[in-house]
Amino acid sequence: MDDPIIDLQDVWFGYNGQMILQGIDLKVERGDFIAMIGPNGGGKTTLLKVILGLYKPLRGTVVVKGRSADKASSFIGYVPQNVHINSSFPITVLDVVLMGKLSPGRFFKHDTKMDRQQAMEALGRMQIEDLAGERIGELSGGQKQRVFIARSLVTDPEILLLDEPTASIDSKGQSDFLKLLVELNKTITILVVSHDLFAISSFVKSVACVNRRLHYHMPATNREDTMNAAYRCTVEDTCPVEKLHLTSTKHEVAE
Amino acid sequence: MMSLILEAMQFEFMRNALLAGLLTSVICGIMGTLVVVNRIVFLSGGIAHSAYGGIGLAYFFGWPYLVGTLGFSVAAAMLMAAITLKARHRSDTIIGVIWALGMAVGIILLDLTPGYNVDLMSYLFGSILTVPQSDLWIMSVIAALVAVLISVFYKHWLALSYDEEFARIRGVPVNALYFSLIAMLAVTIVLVIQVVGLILVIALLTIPPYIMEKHSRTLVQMMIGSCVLGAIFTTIGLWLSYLFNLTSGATIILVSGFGFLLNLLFEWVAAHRKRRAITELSKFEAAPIRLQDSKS
Repeated sequence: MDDPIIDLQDVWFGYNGQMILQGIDLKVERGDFIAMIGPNGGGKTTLLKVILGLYKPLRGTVVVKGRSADKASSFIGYVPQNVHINSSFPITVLDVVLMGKLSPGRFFKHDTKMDRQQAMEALGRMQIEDLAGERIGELSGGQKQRVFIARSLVTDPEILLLDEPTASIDSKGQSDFLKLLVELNKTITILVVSHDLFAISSFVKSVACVNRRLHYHMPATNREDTMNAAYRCTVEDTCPVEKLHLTSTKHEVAE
Repeated sequence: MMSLILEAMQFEFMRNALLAGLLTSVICGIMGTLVVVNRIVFLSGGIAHSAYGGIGLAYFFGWPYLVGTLGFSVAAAMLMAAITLKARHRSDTIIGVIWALGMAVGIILLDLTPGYNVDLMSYLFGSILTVPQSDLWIMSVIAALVAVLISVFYKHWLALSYDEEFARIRGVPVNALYFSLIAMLAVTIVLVIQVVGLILVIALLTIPPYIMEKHSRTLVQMMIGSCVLGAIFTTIGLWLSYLFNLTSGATIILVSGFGFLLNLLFEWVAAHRKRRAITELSKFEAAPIRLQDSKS
């Protein structure tokens, strides 16, 4: 059996006197499709950034593809949570996607024809190639989300980390998008942070619950199990909004 | 009119002033674009003011003027850059502290230096009408250097400015780029200030890029547009100052400010028209407006 593609051992991280991640042990096998759930402020985004090497853990080790996290970020495609950053910035959709083609070894090189072609292909995959010349600020939230996903795909990643990717997509778009992720999952290991376990649970292979600690990481065998698990996960936390949300989803399942 | 312009251009000091203004427009158009999109206007103000501490140092210790100002403001700029990288949310306060301390140190050191009496007003507003030929050469070299450095690493400046975090993940040396940007800014600000004064530099760093930001689709468009707009402002401003015998730097700044207000007015009218068009349209078509597709 292969070594896990992501291997976190006893990872602790925090700032401003708060310990956000406490002793996280997480192994992600190649080809997995993980939904990471948990309350707001539970450290999901922080955990992604630790895996990306943006944050250095205070204790513990992060190994991605057999090397330390900061040397492995080029294998990871990342879709950030906030797609509305810098909305007034003068940059075209194509140029945003071309950012995915940056790499340390090509410091003096300009974009090649090949880069542009690949960027257009990635936009085509997200069905927004006609927006290539638009200013990013002119796009709707859902369209922006697609641009950022295209940017992560153009890096030709082995691992894809997505932070709340369906937050600004409508429900029809969401299921299309999740199907696309399932398709990508044939070659890429995917870890997706989500609030909405209900929408995502039938697509993913496993579920991890993060609230400061990793509460569990288990295969998503059937929906009810996962839902129950999610429910248990959030009962322990103190975020009432989240509790309300997941209780109501559970309610729906019960019906 | 034409003969008046020709008459003005017969004076060498007017030709030099115009050239200095145009070169400043180019330097500030390019650097100002990066300043505005990276939201480091305050930091630029901090660098510009703390440079006064450098003047004090230079006079007090008898160093050459540029050694004092460049050394001091680059050092202050690096300190500010380190702080903004480390603690973004607190950086403005600390920049404010360095801003004030730098100026105060400069003034005290000048007080302590016997015989010298540097005019604070000329530092603030400059003396564009007395620019010597040698300064024009220095400015040309800076303008060329800035243009080359920005175009060679254009993709990286773009990535740093638009999405620093993603650039970091892609292995772009974000910290090194950021420090170079601030150092470049410090050097250009100090060199341009001694020609046209602090206030004009701040005006040309902010006003043309701000106006161009909304009308540009790419960063390079914004840079070129800002250079052109700055050139228009300086030319009109110089001309008016010649006609009405006003202080040149301040006139150029007022012209820029007028352009800024005019732009705001146009934007307001455009937004108003758009809103009215939508209301008109919704009267005819009862179709619900889909929030999802509405452009932000």
